[in-house]
Amino acid sequence: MKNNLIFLSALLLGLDAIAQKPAIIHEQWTEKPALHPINDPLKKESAVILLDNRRVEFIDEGADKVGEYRSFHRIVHLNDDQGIESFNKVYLGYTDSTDIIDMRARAVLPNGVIMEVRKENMKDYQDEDGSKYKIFALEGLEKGAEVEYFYTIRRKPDYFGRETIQGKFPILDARLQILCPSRLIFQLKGYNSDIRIDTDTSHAGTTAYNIRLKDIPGAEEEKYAAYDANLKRIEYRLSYNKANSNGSARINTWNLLAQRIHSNYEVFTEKDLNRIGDLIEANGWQKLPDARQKIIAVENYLKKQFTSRNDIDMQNASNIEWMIKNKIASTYGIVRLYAGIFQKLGVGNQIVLTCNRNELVIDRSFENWNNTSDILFYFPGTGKYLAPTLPTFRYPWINPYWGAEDAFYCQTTTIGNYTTAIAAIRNVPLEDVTKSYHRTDVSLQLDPASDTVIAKVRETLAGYLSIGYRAAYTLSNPDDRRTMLKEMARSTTNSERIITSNVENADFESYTDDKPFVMEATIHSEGLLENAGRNLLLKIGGVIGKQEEMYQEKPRQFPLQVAFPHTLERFVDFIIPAGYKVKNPDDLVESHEYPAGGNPVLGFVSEYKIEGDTLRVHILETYKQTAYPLADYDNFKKVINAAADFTKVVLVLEKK
Amino acid sequence: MSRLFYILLLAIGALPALPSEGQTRSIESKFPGEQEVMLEHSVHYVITLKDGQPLVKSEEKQQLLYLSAQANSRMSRFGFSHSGFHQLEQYSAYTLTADAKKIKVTNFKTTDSKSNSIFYDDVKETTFDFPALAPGAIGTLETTMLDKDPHLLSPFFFSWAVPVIHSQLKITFPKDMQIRYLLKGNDTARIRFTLETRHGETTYTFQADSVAAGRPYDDAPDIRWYAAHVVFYIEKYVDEHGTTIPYLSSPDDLFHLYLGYLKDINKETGPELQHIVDSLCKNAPDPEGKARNIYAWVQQNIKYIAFEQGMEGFVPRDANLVCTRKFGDCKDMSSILTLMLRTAGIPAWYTWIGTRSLPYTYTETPLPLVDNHMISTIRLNDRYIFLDGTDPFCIFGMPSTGIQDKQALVAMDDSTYKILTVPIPAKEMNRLIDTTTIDLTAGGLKGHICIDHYGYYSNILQDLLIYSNEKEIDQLLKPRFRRGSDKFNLDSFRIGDRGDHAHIRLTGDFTLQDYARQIGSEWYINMNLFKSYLHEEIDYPKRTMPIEFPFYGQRIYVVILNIPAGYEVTYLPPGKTYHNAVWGFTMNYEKRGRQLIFTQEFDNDHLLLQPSQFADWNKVLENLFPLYHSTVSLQKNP
Repeated sequence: MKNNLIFLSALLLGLDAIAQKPAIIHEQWTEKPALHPINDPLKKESAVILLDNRRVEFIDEGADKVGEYRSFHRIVHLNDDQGIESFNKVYLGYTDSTDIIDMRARAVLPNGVIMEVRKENMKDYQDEDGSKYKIFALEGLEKGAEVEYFYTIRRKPDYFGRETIQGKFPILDARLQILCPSRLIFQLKGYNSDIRIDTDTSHAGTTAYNIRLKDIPGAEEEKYAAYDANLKRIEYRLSYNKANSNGSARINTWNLLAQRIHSNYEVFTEKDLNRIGDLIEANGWQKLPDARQKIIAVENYLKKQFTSRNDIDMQNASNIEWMIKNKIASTYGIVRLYAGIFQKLGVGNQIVLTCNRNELVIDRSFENWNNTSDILFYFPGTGKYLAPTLPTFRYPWINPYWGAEDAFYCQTTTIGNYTTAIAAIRNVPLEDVTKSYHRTDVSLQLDPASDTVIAKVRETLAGYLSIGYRAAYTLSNPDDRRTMLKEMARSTTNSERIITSNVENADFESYTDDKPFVMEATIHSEGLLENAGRNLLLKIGGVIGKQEEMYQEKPRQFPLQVAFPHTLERFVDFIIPAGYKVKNPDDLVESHEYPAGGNPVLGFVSEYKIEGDTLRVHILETYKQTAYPLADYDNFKKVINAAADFTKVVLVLEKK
Repeated sequence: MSRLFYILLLAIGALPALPSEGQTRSIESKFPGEQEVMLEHSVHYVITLKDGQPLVKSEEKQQLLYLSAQANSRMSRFGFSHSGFHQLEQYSAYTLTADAKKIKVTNFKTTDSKSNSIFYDDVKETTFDFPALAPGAIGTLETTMLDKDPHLLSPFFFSWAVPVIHSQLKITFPKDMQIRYLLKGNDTARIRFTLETRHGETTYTFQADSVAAGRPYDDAPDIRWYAAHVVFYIEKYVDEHGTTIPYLSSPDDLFHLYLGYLKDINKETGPELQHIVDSLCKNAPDPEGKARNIYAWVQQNIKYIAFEQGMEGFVPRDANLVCTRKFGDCKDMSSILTLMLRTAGIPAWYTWIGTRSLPYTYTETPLPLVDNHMISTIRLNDRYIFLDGTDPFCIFGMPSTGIQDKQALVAMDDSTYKILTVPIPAKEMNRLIDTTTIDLTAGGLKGHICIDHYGYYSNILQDLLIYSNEKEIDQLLKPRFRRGSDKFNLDSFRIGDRGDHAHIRLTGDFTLQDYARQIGSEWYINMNLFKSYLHEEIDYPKRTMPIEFPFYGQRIYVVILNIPAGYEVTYLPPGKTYHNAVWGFTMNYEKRGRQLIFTQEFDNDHLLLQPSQFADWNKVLENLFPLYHSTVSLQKNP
């Protein structure tokens, strides 16, 4: 993955030694391949990866120049049509600066015929984000065939790496080799997998780090799981360079990254600062009374007026003057602009590099710079965060998957006239559970004349729970807004017959005052009532809307997580029609609560009371943590299913 | 007016005047809540003759007025596509800010366009961001294109995903040329047409104002079926020698163009293909048996992968190459089917056809835009059979669902063709019969399911089954078994014989808790385990675009309740039959011995449902829904 946040080319300094010319290892395949026998249990799989062999080779290429070559070699046995469809089209990615050294692909057919893909049938393809691929189709494939391909590409040396080995299909034999001049000392670490590193120094001048993993099962998608983060992967980093004068000093540390981030994002020319000063002046931000209001005003302005996306990457989109005129910015550019404005305004801040916890971790003891994929500002004065690259989020709300985990903080310190930065690895706490809630208020009244129920529904969404709705509503066209309201009505009342409706606080500015997003409607619903002869059945459970269920699950592989701490609370009032009584109100009662450290962190509790002619139901569903270990699986499932069970509660209204 | 002056005028016209505040407000009140509108969309085609051949250039202008406060952060990205046939010559774009500053676009980026169905072609996309957008700003894009093949001119559409304030198509062509045009889609009465002749040139102008946003519903057919548009093409022209050249004046011209695509393929059957044909025909008793075997072999063995760079989009590949590769696009499958069938002694013909996403016919508009697909046609027992190689479980003798009711251009030989209409299989051919037998037990409802799929129901299910392995198949099938509620637990299932494309049976056993209610001495159960049409009311009268259905069909759901010992039925809801001119249903409760049998029957006789039929559709639902809310009650004998 291309890391947009750090400028890795600078890393080359000091690593290169005297020119040697070791040739790289060229990947080979068997000239006369035979098909591999497949064990019975694996015949159920659509495809079996027999070999997944990866090599990253660093070699000296003349003075001050290290070359990196990455090789990838796969042999896949195809058992069925899905297997064929999964491997008959191949996309091999490479980047601008890389050269393709080798690229071969072939199909080995059950009758022994070998069909190699001809070079002219490998087409060039460039994606929307600029990524380049060689794409080709394997010829002659049928069930029982094997696909084999390998490639070696030269790329700009990157001294950090992450190889995700596990995937959808099982792998029988996975190998990773890092080869480098022996002055370079790499460290490797396995995630979700114990690895044994075999270090081979038997070839003079070269070190080979070898890892082999066998019989890796295919990983299946699961509900409430961080799929990518749980896959078996190996990360590596360059930790020492013995050619340095101080060869035993650890290199590529978090502190070095802090210095680099500081100089890239937080150092400005006089001219830039003047332009930024003009912008501040024009908007009057300097007159705002406190840091919080300045942060809010700057963010609202930049997020409304500027376009910034990952795929905007031309040079001038990080030039302060050009950005201010065109209001288009690269990710790098917009972060610099924020940093410059905050600096000039004297709003203390730290740049935070984080990642999506569904995919990666920032590991204090294993500094992999490539895992810092996303960026935040932290304001020590307020203790809150801002996500500069997410246009539909507002302070202090960030992508919740970028928090509740460790992140890298760049803390600047000034000594005399000299400003530098040091790193800290600390958690990014999410906003408190009380701030993210979905509250539903429903009152139901029977219209005896027409066998319908008149429902008044008010949905209140706050904090992280409001993000998707608010963005969808504010950015959509009138037709889609109408559809959103209809869907809300349908979800609670099983009807789209909206009599009146109203939406509050849809604008992004409402975030900063913690104003919740509100949709309310009065709805005519036939769908909540059933007729059973002399009795009526009220499908009261349906008003909480469709719930996720985990009724019929396969054995669990991965621990559980939710996006952010939150509660779902419902208040349902039902006015019992004259002449009727509710025969089974106790069906409304359910209670599943699970504590951790003495407090309930996970629960679904529903209860009721009857006051006069009104039946009042209260339901509280709680998820106070983001992560739940595998040991909590049964409890977690019970809570999820308790909510799903509640949707099926039907009250019998019996004529007195 | 001199040509130069004319071009100058165009250039001046291209500078947008900022709408006054009053104009912007009037647009906002006419289209409330819209985030942006197209102020102007215009295309001007200029067709000339060069070296005796038509040369087509077009200038297109798009001007967007931004109304939303979020304009810059969300709507700045814009772009256009082009290809080898639709060659980009010039382009420029700029923003005119609300305070009348002009800022040019500099960040153009060209990439390959991605398509789900085509693996590789030469269509490119150029994208960019309009700078400095804010409410009141106008983004303008101007492009000039060269249409390398004038047979392939694109229709002009008046509506966009956002409202269009002014829309205009101009076509200028020499006096010795005939351009034919047709207005297609709904609401074409609003299109104003003018004809102007000047200096030996004719100009057609089509204009429309204040066109509402055309945002499609999920179940709508392709926009070409309803959006107002102009199809235009060169019928014929007189060349420099005074000879009249028929260009696309009739299907004959199109056929001759297409014949050229076939001239270099399938000269002979190679040994590999011959061997396969021989082995497939060895035990086949008659031509039909041979044709069935050959069709099945292509369906199973040739995977769909489309490489369509330039002419590869039109010219089928040689069947022998397709056989070796084991993959191809529709044209390649037409090629291999046709050659294999001919090798087996069965006359087979290359056939061009449009899928149902296209509303055009060869007889009305004899143009390449009528089709987007190729198949092979044979004649057996006095009946034409259309063989589509791209559908692995298409039933021999039935067309694939995507070509029903479409005109096919069948190349009978090097000089003759036929235009045939593909039949629509009757609803009785496509039946889904789903039977559930249930028992009320202390552990909830337990039951057995048997679903028989016939015709297209079988075809579609088998197409799905092929792409899932044993591990995933339960995930695929569970939704098809599911009934009652999401607490449906599929205890076991079985897939019946998969040898017959025209029929497949699924059977399964299940448990369903919390669906039937036992309260006191009573059981309550709603026998409508399926409420397939809940929320299927058509958004009428707002909706003006038709609804597409995959095929004609019948669905029958039977639920058989074994009445528990010691209980009697105390409330049996009434059944009902309701049909009108559009469709209808029958729902029936019947007590037979110790069983209660509930039957739901629905049928569909439409491929497209038009707005004039929407009221009747909804009327059926109004009659149906009350029946969904009826619950059977059973009382324990005292």
